[in-house]
Amino acid sequence: MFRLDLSPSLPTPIYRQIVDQVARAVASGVLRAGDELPSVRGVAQEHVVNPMTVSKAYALLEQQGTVERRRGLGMIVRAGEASALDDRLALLQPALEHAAAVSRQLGITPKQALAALKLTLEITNKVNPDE
Amino acid sequence: MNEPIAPTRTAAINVDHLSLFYGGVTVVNDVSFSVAPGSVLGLVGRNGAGKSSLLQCMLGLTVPQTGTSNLLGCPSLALTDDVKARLGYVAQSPELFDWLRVREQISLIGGLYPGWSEARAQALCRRFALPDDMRVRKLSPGEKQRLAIVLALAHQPELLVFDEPVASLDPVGRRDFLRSLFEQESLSGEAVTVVISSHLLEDLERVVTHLLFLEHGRVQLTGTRDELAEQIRAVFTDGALAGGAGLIHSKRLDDGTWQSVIDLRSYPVDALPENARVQALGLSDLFVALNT
Repeated sequence: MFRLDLSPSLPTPIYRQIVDQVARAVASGVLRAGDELPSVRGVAQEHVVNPMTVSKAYALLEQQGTVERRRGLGMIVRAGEASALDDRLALLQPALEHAAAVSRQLGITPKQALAALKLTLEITNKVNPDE
Repeated sequence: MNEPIAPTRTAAINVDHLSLFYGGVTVVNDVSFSVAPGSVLGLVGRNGAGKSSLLQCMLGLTVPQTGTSNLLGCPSLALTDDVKARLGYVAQSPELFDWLRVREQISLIGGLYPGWSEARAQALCRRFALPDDMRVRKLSPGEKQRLAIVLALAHQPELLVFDEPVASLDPVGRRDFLRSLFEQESLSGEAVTVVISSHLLEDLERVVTHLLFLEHGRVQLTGTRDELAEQIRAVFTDGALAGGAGLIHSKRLDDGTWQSVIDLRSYPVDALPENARVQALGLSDLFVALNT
C-alpha cells in the first residue's frame, strides 16, 4: 500500500510534498492505474495534518490529470502510459540540484560527488531490490 | 481553498486597527486582519509579543483604546448570548473550580450551553484520558489543560480560540488535541474556525492554514501557510540590502554577513547582489529569522 512520507518542518509546503510524492510514485510505477490514494481523512489522521491541505493536494493532482475522483471510491490513479524517462528525470531534477548545491557548499569536487551518488545508488538498490 | 477571504462570506473574525496600551507601553499596535470561516490561524510571536492581549481584545475580555474587533459578525465588546454559545476559548491559565470533581465541572459548564451533549463531553473525556471522578485540584497541569480543552470543544462551537493550548501537554496529548480539532463539527453546521497562539511551531505547522507573526504588538508578517512557505526567503549577503518593498527584516550577523527576510512577491529579486545566498525556510527557521 502506498504511504506518504510527510515532514511538516521542511520548507516545502505539505500540499507540495503530497503532490510530488504521488507524482513520483505514479511515474515510477509504484502507483498504477486504478490504484486508490489513501483517503483525505486517513492521511490527515495519520500524519496529523489539516485535511484541507490534503484536499488541496488531491485537487491539484486531479487538475494535472494524475488521478480522478470516483464516487464512493475516492481518488483513483488514472490510466495512461507509464511516464517517459524524460518525465521521470524531470521529477528527479530538483533533488539533483539540491545535492549539487550542497556539494558545492561543502567543497566536494564533481568527481567525488558522482562517486558518492554511485555508492548511494548501489546501497539503495541492495536495500530495496526491484520486485 | 485556503483563500484568505471570500468576499461573499462574512469573516469569522475581523480585527480593524486595534491598539491596546498599558500605561506608556504599547501592547497591541494597530493590528488588522480577517479570518475566513474554516481557517486555522496560527498566532505566532515571542513571549510578550502581545498574543494573549490580542486574543483577549478579540474576545471582548479587554477593551482596546482604539480599533474594533468582530467575531462571527458581532462586535467583540457586545457579544450576544447566541454568539457566546458559538465560541470556545481556552485561556493560558484556565479558570476551573478546584473543589469540583471533573464530571461535576463538566456538567456545570454544560448547563450553560443550549447545544450541550453529555455523551459528547464524556467521549472527549475518555479521549483525553481525564479521570472523571477526580477533584479538579488534584489534576496535573496537563490534565487541567486537557479538561479546559474538553470544556471548549464539547458544545461544538463554530469559533475556537486557544491561547497556548498545548504548553503543558506531552507529545501524545498534543497530537490528540490537534486531531480533535479536525473532527470538530459545529452545532450550527458552519465550518469551524480556529485561532491558536503558540510558540510550539512543530505543532502549528501541521495544522494551520494561515499565520500571523506578531512582534512588539505589531503584525510583522501574515498570509497563508503555503504562500509564506513559497514566497518568503532568507537572503544572506555581504552588505546590507537596500530597504523598501518586500524587505521584511534585516540583521547583521556576528560573522559580519547580513541576514534578511524578503517577500519574493514584492522584493526586486533582480537587484540582489550576485553572490547572495537565497534560502527557503521552514516555519521554525522563519520564526527565528524574523525574531533575531
